[in-house]
Formats: sequence, structure tokens, C-alpha cells
Amino acid sequence: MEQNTTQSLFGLKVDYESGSFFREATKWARFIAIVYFVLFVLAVSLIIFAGEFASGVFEQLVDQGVLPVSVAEFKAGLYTIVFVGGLIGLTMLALLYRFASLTRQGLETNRQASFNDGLKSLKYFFIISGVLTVLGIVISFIGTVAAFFI
Amino acid sequence: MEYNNPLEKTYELEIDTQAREHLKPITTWARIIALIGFINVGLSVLRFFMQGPNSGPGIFAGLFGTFIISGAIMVVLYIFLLRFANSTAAGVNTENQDEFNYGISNLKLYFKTIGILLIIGISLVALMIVFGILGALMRG
Repeated sequence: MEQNTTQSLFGLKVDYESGSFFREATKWARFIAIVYFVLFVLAVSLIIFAGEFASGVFEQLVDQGVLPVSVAEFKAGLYTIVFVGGLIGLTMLALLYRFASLTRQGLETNRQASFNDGLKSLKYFFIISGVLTVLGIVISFIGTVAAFFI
Repeated sequence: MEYNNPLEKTYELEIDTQAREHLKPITTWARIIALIGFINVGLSVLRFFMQGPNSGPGIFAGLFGTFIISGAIMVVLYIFLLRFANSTAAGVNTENQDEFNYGISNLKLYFKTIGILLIIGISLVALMIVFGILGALMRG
């Protein structure tokens, strides 16, 4: 007798349908990771270049007393933000790439350990994304509340 | 009668205990991200209508169009993510293969949409650079 919904006696498995969905998901995840990595390198180079370029402008602003920080402090702050942001960004990209590579490897070689390691990387990717999203909403909420009073 | 297509690739992988242990936090965090995303879009709408009318009518119309498109894209992405989270979690909890497959299909759609948006974004930037160079050459 045929059933409309599949409820395997042996639990869930990666069947043809879910396997092809996983394959396509990993294909796009790898593409996203590579493209973002290239964009990331470009953005970091641009920020460092702009920081060097902007330091002249900031020197003038500091001399005029417009900015309460020194140029050295400004540069240190900028590089710290770039470094921390870069570290988080690179970690996320590496996790996404690992998910794509290991899950695909698991599917192609039928190796359960690779497949599970891929899912593990996706888990850490989503945890970091989630924490950043929570921080983002807190900042967004403060912004909205501030907009009421400005 | 069951029909097996010889061209269909078969997988000998299971959603075993370890995979389930990874999938549970994945779906939990995906759900959190999607729900917060919806709230964020709502807050952005609120902020837009509070600050938008201060600008000129032409600028406001342009900003409104851009805002609607980007907001709609974000909502679609969060719907895919929420469906992935809910269906995959339900599939794992109830051992329902169809539900699980539907969840994974939404993960595929989520990544595919981001990938296509990236292609569109990069193409637009490349076009702007080309037109910028052409414009500069024609002027000088």
C-alpha cells in the first residue's frame, strides 16, 4: 500500500530528492563563500587605502579641534574595527565553505562522517549569524527609539 | 509498484544521531534569524515613514521604490529560512521524510536566492563602472 507521506521504518535518510537539494544548496553556498571572499579582500584593501587617504583630512579636523581624538587614535580604532570585523567575516566564510565542501564530499563518496562535519560547520555558521543578528536588532531598536526623540 | 530510475543517484547517508544533533541548533538559530529579520524589516518600515517625508517628494518616491524592492527581497529570504527551520525541525522530530525534504529544498532556495542577488549586484556594479569609464572618456 502506498502512503502519501514517507515515514521510513529506518528513520530519515538522504534520499534522491533531499540529496539533490543538498547538492544544489552546497553549490550555491560555495559560490557565495568565494564571491564574498573576493569582495571581502577588496573591501579590506579599500578601507586600508581610504584610511591612509583620510588620515590627511582627519589631521586637518584634529588641528581645527573638530574631532576629540588624535589621528593615531583614529587609525588604531579603524584598524581594530577592520581586524575584528574581518576576523568574524572570514570565520563565517570559512564555515560556509567548509559546509559546502564537506557536505558535497559526503554526498559524492557516501561518507557519513564528511556529511556530518559539513552540517557541523553549517551549525557554527548559523550560530555566529544568529548572534550577529541579535546584536543587529538591538542596535536597530536603539536607532528607532532614538529616531522618535530626534 | 516502485520504479527505480537507474540514472538517479542513490545515497547511503542517513540523518543519524550526530546529524540530528547538528540540525537542531541549525534550525533553532535559523528560526531566530528569520523572526528577527521580520522584526527588523518592520522596524525599517517604521523608521522609513518617520524619517522619509522630511526629504523632498522626488527623493522620497525614489527611496520608497528602492525600499519596497529591498524589503520584499528580505521578506522572501526570511520566508525561505523560516520554512527551512520549521519543516526540517518537524521532519527530524516526526521522522517525516517529505517534511524534511521540503525543509532542505528551502535551504537550497535560500542560498540560491542570495547567490542570484550577488550575481545581479556584481553585474550592476560592473555596468556602473563601465558606464562611468565611458562617460569619463566621452567628456575628456
